[in-house]
Amino acid sequence: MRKIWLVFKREYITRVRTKAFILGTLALPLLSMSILVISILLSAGSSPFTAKIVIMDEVGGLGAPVQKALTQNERASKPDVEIVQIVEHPSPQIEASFNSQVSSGALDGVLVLPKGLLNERASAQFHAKSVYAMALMGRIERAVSSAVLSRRLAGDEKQVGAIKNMLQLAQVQLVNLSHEKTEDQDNSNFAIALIAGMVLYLTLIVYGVATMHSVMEEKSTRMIEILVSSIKPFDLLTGKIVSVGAVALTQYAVWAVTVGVLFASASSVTRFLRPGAVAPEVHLQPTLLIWLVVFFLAGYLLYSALYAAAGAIVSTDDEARQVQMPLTMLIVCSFLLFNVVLNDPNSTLSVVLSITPFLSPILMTLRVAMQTPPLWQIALSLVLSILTTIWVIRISARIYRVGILMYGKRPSLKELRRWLRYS
Amino acid sequence: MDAVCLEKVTKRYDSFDAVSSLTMNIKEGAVFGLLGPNGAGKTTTIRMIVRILIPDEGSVRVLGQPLSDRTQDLIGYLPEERGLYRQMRVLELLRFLGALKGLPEQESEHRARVWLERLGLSARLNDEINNLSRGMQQKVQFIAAILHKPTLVILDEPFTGLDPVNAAVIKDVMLELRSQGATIILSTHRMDQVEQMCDSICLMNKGQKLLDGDLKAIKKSYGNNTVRMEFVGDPAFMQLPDVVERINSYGEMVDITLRQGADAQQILRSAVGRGVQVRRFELMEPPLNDIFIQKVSERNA
Repeated sequence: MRKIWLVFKREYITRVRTKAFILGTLALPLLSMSILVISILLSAGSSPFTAKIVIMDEVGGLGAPVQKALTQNERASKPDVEIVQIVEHPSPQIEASFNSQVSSGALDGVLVLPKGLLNERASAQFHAKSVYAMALMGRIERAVSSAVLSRRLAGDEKQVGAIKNMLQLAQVQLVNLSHEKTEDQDNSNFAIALIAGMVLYLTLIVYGVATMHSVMEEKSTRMIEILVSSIKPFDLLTGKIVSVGAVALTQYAVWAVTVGVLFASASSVTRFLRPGAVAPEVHLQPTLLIWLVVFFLAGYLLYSALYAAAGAIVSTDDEARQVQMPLTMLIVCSFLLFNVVLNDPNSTLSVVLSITPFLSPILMTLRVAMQTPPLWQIALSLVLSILTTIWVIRISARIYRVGILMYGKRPSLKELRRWLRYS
Repeated sequence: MDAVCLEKVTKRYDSFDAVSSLTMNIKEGAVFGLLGPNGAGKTTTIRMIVRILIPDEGSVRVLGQPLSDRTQDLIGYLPEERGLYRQMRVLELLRFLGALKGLPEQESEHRARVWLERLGLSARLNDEINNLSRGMQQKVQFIAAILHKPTLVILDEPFTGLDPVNAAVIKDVMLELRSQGATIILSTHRMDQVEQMCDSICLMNKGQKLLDGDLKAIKKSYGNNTVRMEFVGDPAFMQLPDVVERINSYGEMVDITLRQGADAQQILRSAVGRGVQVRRFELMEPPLNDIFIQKVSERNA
């Protein structure tokens, strides 16, 4: 036990003080901080920024309804769109002069409603330069189509009722998307599931490969002979795997704390950056965090034991790349199955996949993030994973015991089978 | 009590037996030479003693006990394949390796400082292993093998790559350890070192023991059958088929192995008769090198 602890401590300290670890640990908080800042700056909802727009109405009489549609439903104290002027039937010279004002920054955008717009022979154009004006595209599109529709309706009395009904429906859906809490929650769950899955996917590969290289380092520096003459190979392997895992958890902890603090302070950051803007909200369930760690551990132990065995049977980086391929493919497999689970987390296929060993760590985490699956499924998935892990560690430890002293040619599968009988 | 006791030990690999039915006893407090040509099974034997490999048959006992975690801590081992963690600092690494052999970490660090001082490395305490020369790395590795005051020290080719000054320092430390009661197993190809240092030897070939026992007794059993000569002139005087069995020439010096019962004086007379100027003429026991070559080629023939 004391020797396992010594190995653990040495690996942990030398690993944590490497540049790669420090940079990797800082990268995610920095990334999410910049995502937060950018999303606040870009948030189109309401802002102190007012886009000055000129409408070129080549149709005639369409400018006013578009203006009305664009500027109604203004939520914030300050309007974010101001229609500076509506020019009916503009000459090409006037259009060019307004466009040059956009280029120079005096105007934020020019909305052109061409002649053929009503009978769909041409589409509206929005000339803009600034990012904020671009963000308005969606609203401008809706405003123009609603104005065009009302215009068309005015000519055809018979369809008024029917189309108004259809419009009504469309509007209900719109309201649903942006205001109803449950839909919102679903969206953010989806994002969290995806992020959780990606984090697991990346850390499993990164730390699995780290374990492999750690085994290879001891082989290539010939340190292994001194070590194994002082400590049992199984204890050495245990200390190593646990320590690399602890390094990963350290990184998780730093990420969780920094990202947590970041989002907790999102509203004050928002107030600081852009007073009046709505802070992005993230609904993170603490249980998800716990499951994330549990399934990381389950997946990590399983894969790192495999990677350690892989490291033991090779001597060069080239061979390592070949041997780690099938292992990495196993993890990539889970990644390729993301879609199946994300599309329908409760389908029979999703349930079966999320219980299958080797796939379960990542796919079950996805399901947990999407919604809470029945506890028995989580438990079954974990138990199967742990049983597989014990079996894999036993086999890996045997391969490791023989492999660490072998230099030169990579063993064939037949030789590997014989190794299993040695120790 | 014997420091090491191997009883019919066999280690098999796929296509051959690296060690087959080897029985060997190493007395406590001696310097023991493990000799043999490349591939004789020396390293495999050592690896079984330090418990890196587990024998397929037979038993290994160290200091009267079967191998266990406890015996591991009593052994110090310098493997033939040299290498240390490249990224670690010297003191930090020795502290770790000492602790791994059961020393408290503080004590391990303290002893490491003392040894580094003695071997002239005290200025490099906090250097990364990477930045040391090969010779320095080897000294660090030697310290790692003896840091915990092992009762049994196993050194595989300890002098290769060391300059004469450093080799002499290591040799002094080894003899000092023996005088403190430690047993030392020395595996080497260098017969001159064995003759200087070893009390007893075991000569191995192809996984088997060819010869073992007290070095002096072994040499004595061959009798004074060798003439060592230095001379100036025509070497044709040595062509005395009735007297001379074999000639090993080292340039300036020759070792002449005599036929059984032959008279060495005949060689001297022949040399003088041909006007060769003799500078040295010594009748002695055969050098270990001769015994080694003779035994191994006998067996391989």
